[in-house]
Amino acid sequence: MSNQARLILLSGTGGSGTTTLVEASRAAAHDEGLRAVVVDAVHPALDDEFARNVRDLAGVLVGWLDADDLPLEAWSCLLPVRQMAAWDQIASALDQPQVDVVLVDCGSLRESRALMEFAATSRRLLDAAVTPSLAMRSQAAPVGSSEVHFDVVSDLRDRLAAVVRLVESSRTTMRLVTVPEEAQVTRTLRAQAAFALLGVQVEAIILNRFARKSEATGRSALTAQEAQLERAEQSSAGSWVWKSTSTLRPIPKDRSVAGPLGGVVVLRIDDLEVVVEDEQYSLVLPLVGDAARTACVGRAGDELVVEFDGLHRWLPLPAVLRRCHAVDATRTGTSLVVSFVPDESLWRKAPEPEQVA
Amino acid sequence: MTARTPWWFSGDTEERSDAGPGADETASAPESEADATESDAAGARDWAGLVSGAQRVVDWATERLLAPHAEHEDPRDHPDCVICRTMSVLGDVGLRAPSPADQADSADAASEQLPGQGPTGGAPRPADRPGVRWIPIRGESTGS
Repeated sequence: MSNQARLILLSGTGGSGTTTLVEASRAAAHDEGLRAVVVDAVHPALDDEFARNVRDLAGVLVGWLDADDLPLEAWSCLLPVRQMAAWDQIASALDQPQVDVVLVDCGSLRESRALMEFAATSRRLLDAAVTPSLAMRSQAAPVGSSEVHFDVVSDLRDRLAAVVRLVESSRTTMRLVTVPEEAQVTRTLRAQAAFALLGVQVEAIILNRFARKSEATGRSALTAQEAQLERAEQSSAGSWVWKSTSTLRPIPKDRSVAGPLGGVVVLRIDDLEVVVEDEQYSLVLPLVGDAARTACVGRAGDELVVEFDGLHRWLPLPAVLRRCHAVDATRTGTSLVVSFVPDESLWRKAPEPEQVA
Repeated sequence: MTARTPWWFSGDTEERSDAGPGADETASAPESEADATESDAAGARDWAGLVSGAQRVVDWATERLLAPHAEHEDPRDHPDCVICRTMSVLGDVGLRAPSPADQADSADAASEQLPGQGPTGGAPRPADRPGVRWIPIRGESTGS
């Protein structure tokens, strides 16, 4: 990922016209003189090199289980091959020289959420699985196999880490496509909150298939659509809201298709800040929409977990908070503020005066 | 890499190029009916091999993994057991069965809750997950 091409992910509710808007965005980019590449993350192609990587990974699993005679096919079918292939193609597209923007058709909201969660979850599992015990056992394994294990695993971890960084990067944004119907707008706003929790910047919500006044849809239908547009604008929390009619213009003429168009405050690990006040520590977790209203937060060892809509975001605690008790949390409407107090059993006590003497 | 690599490593592509998952994906379409029939037969063989392989995995796992694991109570006491290791990993995402140590953790978590308040205030109560202590929510939304 050497150049700094923008990565724009498009996803939408069923039948909202996401794929069509991806193509319209490519055409608009071409009209602007930008070189755009489109990636189909729903049906990614599996090239030979990627197939070899999958075989290597399956081999690692086989090796871990000391089952070197198992048929490869039995394992390769268990892997999340599609998500891996999609990210592989996105990375390849970003690596191409002179590319200004990479447009990714992520399919439905469900599929795109799985795609966003994939890298972080997989890396987390690998981090947990690769232990010093495994390293010692692998070192004792026959020459060759251990080296292969660590080559493949470390390479995969590096790739997943790069994907996680890419997902949270400022060069990456998501545009959600929906139609001006109440249920679909509600789903889209919840998805926006979920993506913000995952650290993905939702820069725009596009209400597609908006009826024009010249079309014979009736005044009440037009009013209902306008009401949904207004609702989306009021709840967008900073994402840019745009209505698109059957002319399929992906953005207004005075805007660049490569954006940026807008954005909400997302939950990014690097941006977390600890506030200290009266021997009490606070950690502010910025959240959006329904997530700010209903998300729950818990502690698991040295991590916090934020749960919303079946989604879990795991956040490593800053070092100082690992030696604290989580007392409670407060909703502010745009965040969850978690309060901590020092765990006396873990903090070094000041020496007694006589000990100093 | 060393000169001696396992059969599954990608350096061994020529011998087993037909075994990789990408081989079927990248194969060109059959040009004749005979080719198509041959391709179908090969596809059937692939499925048969897949099912056979899956059955072998199940048999092997039953014999080598499930039987020894049946005697393990706390996954953390058995780092050499693949199932215990997997349970420990999945426990981090809230999917493992509760162990005695987890139940003790849950008791600690309960003591952290404010009197008369659920673990999440007015929000939907999250599913109880061993290893996770849900933090009570003190206030409600004021900005929306």
